[in-house]
Amino acid sequence: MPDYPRRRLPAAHLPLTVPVFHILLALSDRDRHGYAIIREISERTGGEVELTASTLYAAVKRMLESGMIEEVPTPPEVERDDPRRRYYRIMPLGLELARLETGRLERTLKMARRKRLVPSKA
Amino acid sequence: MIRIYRAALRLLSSAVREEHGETMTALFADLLADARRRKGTAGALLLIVSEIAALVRFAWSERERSGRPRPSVPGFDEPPLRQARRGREPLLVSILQDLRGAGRALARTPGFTFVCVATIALAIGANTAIFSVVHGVLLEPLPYPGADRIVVLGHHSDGGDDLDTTTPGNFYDWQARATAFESMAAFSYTERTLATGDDAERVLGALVTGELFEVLLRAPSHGRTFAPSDDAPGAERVVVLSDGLARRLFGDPDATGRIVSLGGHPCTVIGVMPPDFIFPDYDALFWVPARFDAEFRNNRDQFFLQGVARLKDRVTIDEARAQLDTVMYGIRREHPLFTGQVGAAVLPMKELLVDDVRARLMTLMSAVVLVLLIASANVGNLLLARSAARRREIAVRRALGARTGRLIRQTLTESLLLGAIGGLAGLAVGKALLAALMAWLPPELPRASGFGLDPAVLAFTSLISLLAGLAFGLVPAIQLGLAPSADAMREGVRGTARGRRLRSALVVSEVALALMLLTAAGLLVRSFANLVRVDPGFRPDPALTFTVGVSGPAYEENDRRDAFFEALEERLRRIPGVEGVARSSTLPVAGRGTGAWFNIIDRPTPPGQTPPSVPYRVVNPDYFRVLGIPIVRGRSLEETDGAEMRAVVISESVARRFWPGDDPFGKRIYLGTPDNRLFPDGEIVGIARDVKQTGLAEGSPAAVYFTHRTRPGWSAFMFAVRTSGDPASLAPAVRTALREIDPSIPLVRVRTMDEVLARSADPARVSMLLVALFALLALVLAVLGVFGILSYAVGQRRVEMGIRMALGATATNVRLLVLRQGMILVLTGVLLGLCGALVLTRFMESLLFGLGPTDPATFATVALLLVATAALASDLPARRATRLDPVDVLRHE
Repeated sequence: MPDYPRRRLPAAHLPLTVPVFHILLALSDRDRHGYAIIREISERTGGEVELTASTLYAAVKRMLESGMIEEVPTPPEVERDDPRRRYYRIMPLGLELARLETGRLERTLKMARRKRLVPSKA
Repeated sequence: MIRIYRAALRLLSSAVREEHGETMTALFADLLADARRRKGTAGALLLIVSEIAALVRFAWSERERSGRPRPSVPGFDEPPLRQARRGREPLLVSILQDLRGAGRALARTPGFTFVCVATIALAIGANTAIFSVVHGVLLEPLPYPGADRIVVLGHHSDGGDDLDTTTPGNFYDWQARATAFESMAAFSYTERTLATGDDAERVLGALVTGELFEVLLRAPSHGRTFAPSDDAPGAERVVVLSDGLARRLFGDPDATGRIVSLGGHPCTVIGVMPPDFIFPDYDALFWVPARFDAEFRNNRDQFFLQGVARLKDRVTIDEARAQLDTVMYGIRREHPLFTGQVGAAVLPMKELLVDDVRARLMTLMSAVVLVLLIASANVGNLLLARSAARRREIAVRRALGARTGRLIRQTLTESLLLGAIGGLAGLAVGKALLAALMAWLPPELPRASGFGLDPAVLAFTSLISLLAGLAFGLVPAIQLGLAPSADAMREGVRGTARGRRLRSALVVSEVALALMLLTAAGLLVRSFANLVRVDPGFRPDPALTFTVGVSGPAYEENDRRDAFFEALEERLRRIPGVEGVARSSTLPVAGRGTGAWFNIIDRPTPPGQTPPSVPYRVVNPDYFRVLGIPIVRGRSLEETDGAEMRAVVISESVARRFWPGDDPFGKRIYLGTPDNRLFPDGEIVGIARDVKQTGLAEGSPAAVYFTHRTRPGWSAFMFAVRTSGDPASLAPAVRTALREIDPSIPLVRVRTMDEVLARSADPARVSMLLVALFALLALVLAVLGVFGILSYAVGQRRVEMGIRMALGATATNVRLLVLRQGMILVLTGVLLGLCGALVLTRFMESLLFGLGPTDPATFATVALLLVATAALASDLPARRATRLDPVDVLRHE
């Protein structure tokens, strides 16, 4: 029997893993290749999240399969790039998941604030 | 590294690999470049480790998602039947499973794992540290391109393997006539006064001929090196500085064009060498061209130059040696007076630098390898004990269908994993040990500042970790393969005779190895004791020693030099607390000093032969009294011995050598060559006792003493100022005294006599302490091994003991029974170890002082020590055996 891709409701993907969430954030403003994704995450988090090639591709593979992102051809303005580099673009499902995850994190943070675990915003 | 990553990608299924493999590899290459740039090799190593860990997780999760049952580790948590039914796993997958299983098994017994890892880590750490030093000093090439083609040239010395210096005349003849060399240069150490602002210091550098940098093929980091015109007589004075000296003087490595005052002459800095450049060793901080004039280039009696040359391609060192011999033959015929018996010698440069320390380092390396063997035997024993405890479990599995090969692999994986973890921990231990070692090593060790943990050391550590893992894992694995399962089932948890024999053999070899190491340590300890007890030939009473040298235009004339030193001596004598001032061109224990031909007036040297060279010392008349060197016969030197009556004192060995059984008094001699004499001629007036001149361990070479009035104009003296109080406290007053006479002259190598003597024994001290430390470690490990096997044996023989006691055996009987079992092992080990030690210590002969490599006292002491310690260790389990309650034991079984 052929293996049909399982269709899942977006919420079933939640919570997102740390790599998946950060990759979605990295792709939210423009298409990037793997190395650029890792660099962007590292810079944005001040080195707190450093993905390895294998972690990245473990996540990318699943994200491609579930339709959160897609592979796109190398943008024409990029010249003399390593041909082995592949560019990825965020898909509507990915955007929605990033938003849902952000909302989930916000709610979690609020709960923590209410319990005075973290100081509330001034 | 990329290749490693690419290989590791094979963990993924082929579909995933085809889809993403290339992209992942490219990405990894980018990250690797990043990591290297930011954190160097360490960063790259960290990256590959975390990449592979992530890759394993990736592969694992893919496997889970692909719907197949999660594979578990056979032999541990899966029913063997199912395992047997399933077909063969792909190799990498099953290795991964083995690793996971091994990891879990080790985690289940943290105490056992900790003991094993700690044992291996200590042994591997010691190996890593010592290998780093060995690698840095003996194995790594010198920092010149094609360093293996660089040779040093000189003459054969009378006795040793050392290379003797040559004369400018010989050197320039070699350079002109020998064709085996691409380029050839000569150098000599030189010490100059370096003026730095108001202060001055003495720095060591090298006087070199213009071709030196062509031979070494190293370019400067700033400016240029010497052109032929810089080496011409009367050329402007120029200097090339080391990176360190340039930074220290000018705060900037680019010192080109700056002026430094060396030896009272301003010199222009024309270049600075890169930080890793060393020549001839780390001590040399600057290089100045020789600028010999035409006459001096023909000099045949001043032996002070060392040749250094680069061999032509495809010319072997033997061919070069043969050719230089031929050239030397021609020179001898042309200048028979000066080169009567001297031949040419060619040595690889490296050999010259490291020859002295080779034996010491190899001893240390053998010591740590022995420690590693003992540690492996110990861990092997622990593993054996554990596999014995798991016998029934394993037998059951096997009966249910687990393949023997797979079980063996599982055991081996476990020990390899132990080796790997131990290796990683050992790396940390090694690093710490190396840091401690660096702070502690004698500064004389050639190239001592150059070593660290580099890729070769890492490779070595990984290799020995792997080998150790294999070594101690193989034993239980083989045992596993041999044991028929039916036996194991029947016997239950009790060990077989074969298992006990294997464990006993391991303990015996541990004891034997430990004994070998202890013997080596014992010999070194006793040598050291002999060394510090040695009679140096003078009274090493409290004294402050230092060196003062004059140079530059103000001291061109002999009179000025002599006046300076006399004024200084007088001024030093007036310092309160000073009991006497001795000065000499070379103090005892400080080195061989300069030598010159020893000519006896009424015994002319036959033509075609050269007179023997004898070291001499220019001293003040007080020298013998202040240093307590007895005058055996005749009289000492006196203030009045000067230009009129040139009195000479010779050492006992000179008297024995030239006038055996005869009286040398009144005999007239001169030093030097007929047309270049140190003084016209002198008369022997006294014989002084032999003094250790080059160091405590060396013999007492001959010495000829005369005063600075007999040989005026000496430019550098070593002083020994004797005091009733603390000699170190004299230093400020000495400094003031020197400053009052001439503030531009530096005070160098200020040390107390005690320090001078201690330094002479330093290399022996360090190797003794290190080997003793390793021997102690070996002793502890071996004793633990004995303790372990006896404790285990007592556990195994509980029933037997219980029966014996029930049948009337007393506590003493039982205790002796256990003790006997232990002592048989120990004594067998000691006997074997003694044989091994007899072989091993022969290689240490050159390190020993005042005793032979088979010193019976050392052998006996060490054997007794080991037997006594092992007896103590055996007694603990023996006592435990006596406390058994026979009723209790028998009821439980």
